[in-house]
Amino acid sequence: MGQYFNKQVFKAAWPICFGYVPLGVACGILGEKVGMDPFLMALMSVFLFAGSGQFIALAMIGANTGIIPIIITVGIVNLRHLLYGLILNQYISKENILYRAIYAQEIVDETFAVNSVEFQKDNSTWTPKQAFGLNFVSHMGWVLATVAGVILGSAVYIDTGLVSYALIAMFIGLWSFHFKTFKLVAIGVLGGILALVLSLWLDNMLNVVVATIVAAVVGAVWDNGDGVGEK
Amino acid sequence: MSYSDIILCIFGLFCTSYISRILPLAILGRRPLPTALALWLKYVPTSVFGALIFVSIFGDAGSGFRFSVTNIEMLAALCVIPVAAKTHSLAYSIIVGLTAYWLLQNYMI
Repeated sequence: MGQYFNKQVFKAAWPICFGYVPLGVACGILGEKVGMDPFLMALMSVFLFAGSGQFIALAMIGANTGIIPIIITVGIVNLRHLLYGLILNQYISKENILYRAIYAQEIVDETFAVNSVEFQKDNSTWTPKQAFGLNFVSHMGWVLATVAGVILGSAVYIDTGLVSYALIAMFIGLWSFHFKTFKLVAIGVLGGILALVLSLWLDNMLNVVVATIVAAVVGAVWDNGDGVGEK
Repeated sequence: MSYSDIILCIFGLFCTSYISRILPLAILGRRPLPTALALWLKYVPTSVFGALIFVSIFGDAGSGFRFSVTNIEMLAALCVIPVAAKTHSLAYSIIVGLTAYWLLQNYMI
């Protein structure tokens, strides 16, 4: 167990959980409003495990949308996890099938962000087992927070603008690990600008997916021999 | 939506979401990445972070942009970026971000 859950894992996981508590509670409050009970909320958080995906699904359930449109919309929202799997695969490809099957379920923005940065650090000692532990802790944090939200209902007031800023700040912190070359920074800014412009026509995070694909192609072409370098 | 409909819906959500998650792991397996793909992947994380951050700060749910000098998310981000670049610490980034956001929200704007 110590290989999965240790000090290094909790040190890397707390910013995720810290951000998940208010976000998950807010998600649970929305769930309660549209008729979810704690069991259904736990089921959804275990099997869907997707922040923005769950908010959208719950809003659509509340609006009496049909099951098929909900599934398709959230499927599109979660397409970006495909990109994350492409990157994470190289670090976990030697693990067994059960490990990878469970690992896949716990790929979200936050766990991808932290694990990829940990794996890619210079002289990284981050192991697949630690990554698995971090995924599990984050996932459980999300499940508990969303269930707590359902139970608390609207009895608590949360300043979601303020608390969701914790995750934005975390993403900025994670982005900073890529401030290694001018090109890496510039491509990040390009991805940001593209995503904003595309948001006028594409919604449901599809703008993020398309912007990422295009910006990274520009990066790869522009790279011009810098090489894959750091791993 | 009835109780059983919601359970069915959750199962469907699991299926479509899991496809995106498992597909790359299943297809790539232990094969080494082609150089072109590796080069592209080198720029994916920075692009994703840029996209997520810019959309959170300047996005307005597809109905325009929030470009303004009183955009609290932007002003707080301007405080976080130098700290993050200097320390690479998520803890400091979050503390500075929340403090700046709270101060701006309550005392300045």
